[in-house]
Amino acid sequence: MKKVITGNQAAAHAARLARPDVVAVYPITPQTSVSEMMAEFVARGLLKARLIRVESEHSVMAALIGASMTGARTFTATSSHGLALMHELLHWAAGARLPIVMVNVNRAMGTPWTIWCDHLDSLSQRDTGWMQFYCESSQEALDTVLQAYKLAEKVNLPAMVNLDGFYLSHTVEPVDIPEQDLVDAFLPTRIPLYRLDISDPHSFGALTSPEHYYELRYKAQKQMEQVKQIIKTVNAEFSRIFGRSWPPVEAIETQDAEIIIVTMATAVGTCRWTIRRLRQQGLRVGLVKLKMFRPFPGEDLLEAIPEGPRVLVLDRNLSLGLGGIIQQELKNIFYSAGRRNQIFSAIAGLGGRDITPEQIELAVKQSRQDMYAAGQINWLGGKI
Amino acid sequence: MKRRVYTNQQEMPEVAISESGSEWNLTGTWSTVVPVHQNKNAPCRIDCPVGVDIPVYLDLIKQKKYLKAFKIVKQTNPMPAITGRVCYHPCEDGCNRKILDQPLAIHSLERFIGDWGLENVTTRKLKADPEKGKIAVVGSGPAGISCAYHLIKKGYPVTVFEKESQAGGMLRFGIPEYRLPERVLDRELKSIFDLGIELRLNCQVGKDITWEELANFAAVFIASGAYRSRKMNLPGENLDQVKPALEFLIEANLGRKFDLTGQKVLVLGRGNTALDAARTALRFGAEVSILSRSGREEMIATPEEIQMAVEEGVQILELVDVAGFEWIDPNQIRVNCIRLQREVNRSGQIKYSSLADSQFSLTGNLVLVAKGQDADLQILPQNLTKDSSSLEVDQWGRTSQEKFYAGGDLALSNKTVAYALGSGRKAALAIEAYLKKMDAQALEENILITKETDLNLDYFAKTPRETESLLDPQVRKVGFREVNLGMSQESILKEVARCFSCGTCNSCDNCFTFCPDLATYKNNHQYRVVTEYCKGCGICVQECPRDAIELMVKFGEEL
Amino acid sequence: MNTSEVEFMEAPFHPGHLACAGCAERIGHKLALKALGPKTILVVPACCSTVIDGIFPHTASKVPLMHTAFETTAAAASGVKAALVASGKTDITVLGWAGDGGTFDIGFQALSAAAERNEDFIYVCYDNEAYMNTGIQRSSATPYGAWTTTTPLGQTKDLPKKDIVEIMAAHRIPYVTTVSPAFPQDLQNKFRRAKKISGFRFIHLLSPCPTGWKFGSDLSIKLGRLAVETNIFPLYEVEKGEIYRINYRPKGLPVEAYLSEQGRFKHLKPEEMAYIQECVDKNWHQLLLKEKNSQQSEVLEKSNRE
Repeated sequence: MKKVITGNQAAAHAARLARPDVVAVYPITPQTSVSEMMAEFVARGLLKARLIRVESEHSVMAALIGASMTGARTFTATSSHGLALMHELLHWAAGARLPIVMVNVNRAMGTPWTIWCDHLDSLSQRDTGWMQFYCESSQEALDTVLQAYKLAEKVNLPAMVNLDGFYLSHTVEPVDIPEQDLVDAFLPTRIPLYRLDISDPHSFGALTSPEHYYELRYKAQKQMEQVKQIIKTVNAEFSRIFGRSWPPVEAIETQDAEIIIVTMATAVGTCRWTIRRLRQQGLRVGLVKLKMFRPFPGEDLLEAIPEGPRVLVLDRNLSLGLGGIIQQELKNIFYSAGRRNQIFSAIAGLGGRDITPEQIELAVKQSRQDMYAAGQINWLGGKI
Repeated sequence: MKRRVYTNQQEMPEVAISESGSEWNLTGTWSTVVPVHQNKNAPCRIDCPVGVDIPVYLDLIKQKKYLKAFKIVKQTNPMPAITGRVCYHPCEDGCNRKILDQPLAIHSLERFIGDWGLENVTTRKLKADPEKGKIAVVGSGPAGISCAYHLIKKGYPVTVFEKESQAGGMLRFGIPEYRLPERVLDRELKSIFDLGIELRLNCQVGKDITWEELANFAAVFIASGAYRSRKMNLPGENLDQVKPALEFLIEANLGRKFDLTGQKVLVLGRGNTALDAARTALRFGAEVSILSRSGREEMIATPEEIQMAVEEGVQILELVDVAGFEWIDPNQIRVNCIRLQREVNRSGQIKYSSLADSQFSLTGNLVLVAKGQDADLQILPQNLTKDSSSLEVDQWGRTSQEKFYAGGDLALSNKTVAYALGSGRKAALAIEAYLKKMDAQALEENILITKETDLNLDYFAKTPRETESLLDPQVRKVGFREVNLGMSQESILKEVARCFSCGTCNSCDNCFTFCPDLATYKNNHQYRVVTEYCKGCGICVQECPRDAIELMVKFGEEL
Repeated sequence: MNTSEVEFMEAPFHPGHLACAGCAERIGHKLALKALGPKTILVVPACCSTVIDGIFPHTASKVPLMHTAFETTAAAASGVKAALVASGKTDITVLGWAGDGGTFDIGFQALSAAAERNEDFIYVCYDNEAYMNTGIQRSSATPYGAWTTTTPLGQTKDLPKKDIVEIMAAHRIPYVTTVSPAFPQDLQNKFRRAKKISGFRFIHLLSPCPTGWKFGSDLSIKLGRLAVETNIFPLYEVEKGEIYRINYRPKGLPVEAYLSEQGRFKHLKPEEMAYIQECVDKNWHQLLLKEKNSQQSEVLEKSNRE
C-alpha cells in the first residue's frame, strides 16, 4: 500500500513487517521516531514483540546480543553518539555472528554537538564486522531493512542500514509498504545457527587462546567475502517478490563518461539531477551509487568504472588525519587491481551542510582541470 | 579426555562455542598436598580402658539405630548394662566437649544402650571349634568373663572355673543392690554365658581341681581377683567391732539383713568400697560417717556416689587419719583420730601431714575398714609367683610362663571393672596371637588422637548436659531399690546430639558441601577425595568439625 | 527428577575449572545451581567466573552460559529473558552471575535500569571486594581500610563500601538478599525462594578470596562465617523495599576476629580498627531498626485491612 511517509516511518514499518521478537529502544535525534513507532506498534498489538526500554545504547546492543543469542530476531535504531557508545558491542555482535539488524540514522559526531547529517558515525564502525548499507530514498530504506534480515540470517553477520539524518529520516515521500504475507514469504522464522538452549548447553564467547582466535576471524572474513555474491541472490529474490531491485553498486551513464562521481546515500539523488544538467552542458559525466559499503564491493566498482575516466569521490565524511573514507577504500581496490584511473577526493556536507548541485558542478570542473592533485582534498562548500 | 586443539579452521565452529567439558583438566596436579579421610581416636575411646568405640555408637544412637549401636559396644564391652551403672567413666573426663560446656554423659548413654540390649536382643549360642584350642579362665569376675567372651566370639571353646556358687565376682559380691540390681546382673551374665561358655561353679582351681589338671587347656587366663582386705596395722584393729568393709558388703549382697537402727557406723576409706559400705549401712538404719584421709575433692570414689551419699545423710569427715581403736564395751568402740592438713607442692602434688595437737576421738558401734584389697597369690602355681609379692604381667596380660595369662584385680594396680574388662579383652587378643603363632606386635593399634584444638567448634552451640533422674534421697535410703533411674528417651537423644564425634566421620557432609572443586566424592556415607581434581585448598580439613580429615604432603607425585 | 537432574544435583558443573584453590565463588555457585536446577541460563560478564569457566573449546558449565561484555550483565540478561518469553519458554531461570566490579561500578547503570524495569531474572553479585580477575584493584565494594594494588599501603581505601543491598532495596524490587557460602542452608533456601518470585531479584553473595584478601586457602568458609558473626555482613532479606527480615542473629564477635585473619587488613592501626567497629555497630543497629519498623508497619497494615 502506497503511503506518503518519512524515512524513519518507512524503516519502522519494515522493522514491523520483519516480525522481530525482541526490540530494544533508546532515544537519540534524529532516530527517535523509529523507536517511538516501534513502541506504538507493540502497544497497539500490530507487532508481537518484547520491547525493552533500556537506559543507554550500550545496553540496547547488550540486550539484543542476549536476545539474539537466545534465538530471537532483533531490531533497534540509533544514531551518532548512540552508535559510538555501542562500539565495543558492535565488535562483540559480529564476533558472535549474530544477525542483528540495526537502522542507523546518520548524524555527525561531536564535539561540538550537532544533530545534522554526515557519515562519520557509521563509517567509524567500518572495522567492527557489521555489513553496512546506505539508502537514497525512503522506499530503499524500507526495502533494505527487509533485505538486511534475509541476508544477515543467511550469513550470520549483523547488518546496519543507514539513513541520512533529516534528509531521509524526516522528509516525506511516497512509499509502497508491502503486505505482511509477502514479507512472510520472503522472511520466514529465523533458524539460528547457535543458541542458548538448556537441552543442548554450551558456553558462548569463552576466553580463546592465540591457538584459535585467528581462525575464527578467518572464517568470518571468508563469510564476509561471500556476502558480495549472496547480496545479489537476496536482491534478486526480493525483486521477484516485490518488483524492486537495489544492487550493491549502481552505475549511471558511466560507459562513455570522462569523469565519474562515486558517492553514497541522498547525495546520489542530487548527483543524478546534476549530471543530467552537466550533460546538457556537454560534459560526459557519469555516476556510481555505492549502496553497500561493507563488505566493500570492489569487483562491482571495477566493473562499473571503466579504465579511462577520472573518478571523483564525494565523501560526506572526514577521517581526521586521513581525509575521505570512501576514496581511501576505492584507491585500495584500484591500486590492487593495477588501475591507473585518476582519483580525486572531495569532501562535502559535513555536519549537515547541504550538498548542492553547484558544489558538485564546481567539483567536476575542478577535477577536469586538474585543479586538485590526486591526494589533495577538495573542500567542497567550505568557507575556506 | 584431552584438551582439544583444532588443527585446521575447517574443523572449527563459526563462533567460540564450547565443544565439551573441562574434565580433561586435572587440576589435582596443582597441589602438593592432598586431604585424606582418616578417622582418628577420640579421647573418650582412648581413655576407656575397655576400648569402646564411643563416637561411633553415640552416632548410631542419634540415628536411632539402637541394634547397631549395641553391637558396636559389644564388640569390646560384653556388659554395657553393668558398666553403664558401675563404671567410673574416665571417658567423660577426657571428653573434648568439656571445653565448650560439659562433657557428654557417656555413662548414662552406655547404660541406656545396655538396657536396650537386655530388652531387645537374645543371645545365640556360638559354634566353638575344639581344634583351635580350649581355653581355661579362672574366676568369673569382669576380667574373666571379658576374656571368655572375646575368645568364644573368636570360636575358641572356653571353660570358666568359679570358686563360688554364683558367677560375677565383685559385681555380685562387692557392689550393692541399689547400684547394680541383681536382676540386671543375672540377665547380663546369662546373655554372655548363653554364647556357649562353660561355667563350672563351686570349683576352685588349686583346691577342687589342680593347676596340673589344666594342662589340657591350650591357654589359661587367671582372673582370681583381689578380695583380701588390707590391714591398717593399727592397735585395736582386731577387735570385733572393727570389720573389713568388703566382708560387710559381701554378706549384705549375699542377702544377710543387718539391723543397724540407731547404730553409729564409721567407715574408714575414700574409695568406692567405702562409699558402698557406708550407703549399705545407712540402708540398714545406721547413722554413718566416712572418715577420709584426703579432702573430699581428692576422694577416689566417683563424685556422684559421694553426692548421693551426702544426700542420703552420710557424713563425710575429710582430712582425718586414724591412730588406733579402743574397746569401750561390747557394742561401742573408740576411734582415735588426728586431723591432717593438705599441702600442695610446687609440681602440684598434694601431700597430707598430721596437724600437731589435733588429736580427737569418735565413738561408734561399728567400724568398717575400706583401705583397699590385695590378691591372694598363694593360690597361684609356684612358677608364676617366684617373687611372691606381686604377679608380673605385661600390657597384654602375659606372665612369665608361656600359656599363662592374668588380668583384673589380681594383676592390675587399677582395680576397677573397666580395667578388668579391658585386661580380659587384651589377654584374649594375646592368647589368639599366641595360638596362631602370630607376632603380638600385630596387635598394636593406631594411636592418633583428636585433641580439642583439632576440632572446629563453629559447628557446635553451647548446650547443657542432660541429667538422669534419681530416686529421692529420703525414699531411697530405706531399702535397696536402684537409685539411678537413668535418662528418658528424649534426654538420651538430646544428649547424643552433643557428641562431637572426635576423629570419627559421622557423615555431616561438610567436606562435600564446601569443596569448590567437586573433588569430594560421596557414596552412601563414605567420602573419598578425587585426587585428579583436588587443588589442596584444605577447606574440607578446616571445616571438618571433628578432625576426620588430614592434609598430607604428596611424595613423589608424577606431574 | 530424571537421571540428568540427579546428576546435576550431585555436580552442577564440571571439575577441572580454573578457580584458585579455596575460591568461595565456586562454593557459592555450586550451592546456588543445586538450588536452582538445570533449567537455568547463565549470563557472565568479564570477571573471575569468565576465566574460571575455562578456555574455548571447553567449558566447566553444564548449563548454557553466555559470556558478555563487562558492564552488560543486566542488559544482556534482560535480552535473554525477553527472547525466552517471546518464544514461550517461561520456565527457564535466567541467572546473571557478576563480580562486584561489574555490579557496583561499571555494570551499575545497567543493573539499576534493569531493576527499575523489574526485569524478570535473578542477578547474583558474588562479591570478593575488588577487581580480582585483573589482579586485586579496588572497586566501590572494597571495604574501608583494605589494601589493594590501587590502594596500596600509605593510601589504603579510606572510603566505606558501597551499600549495594540498600541501593537495590531502594528500587523496590520484589526481592533483595544477602548470602554467605558458610551458611549453605540459608543460601539454598534463598535461591529456592528467589526462583519462585517473578520480577527482579538481587542476591549479594559474599565471596572470600584467599588470593586477594591474603589468607590461607583453607579459611574461605571460616571467614565467610566470621563476616556474618561480626555483623559486618548481616544475613537479611528485603521484600519490595519495605519488609526487612534478618535471617540470623549473629554472635556479635568483635570485628578484629574477622579482620585479623586477612593480610589485606594487617596494617590497620587500633584507631582504624575502632572506627570500623563503630561503623559496623551503627549499621547493624540501623538494620535492626529497619526490621523493627517493617514489622510494625506490617502489623499496622494488617490491622488497617481488618
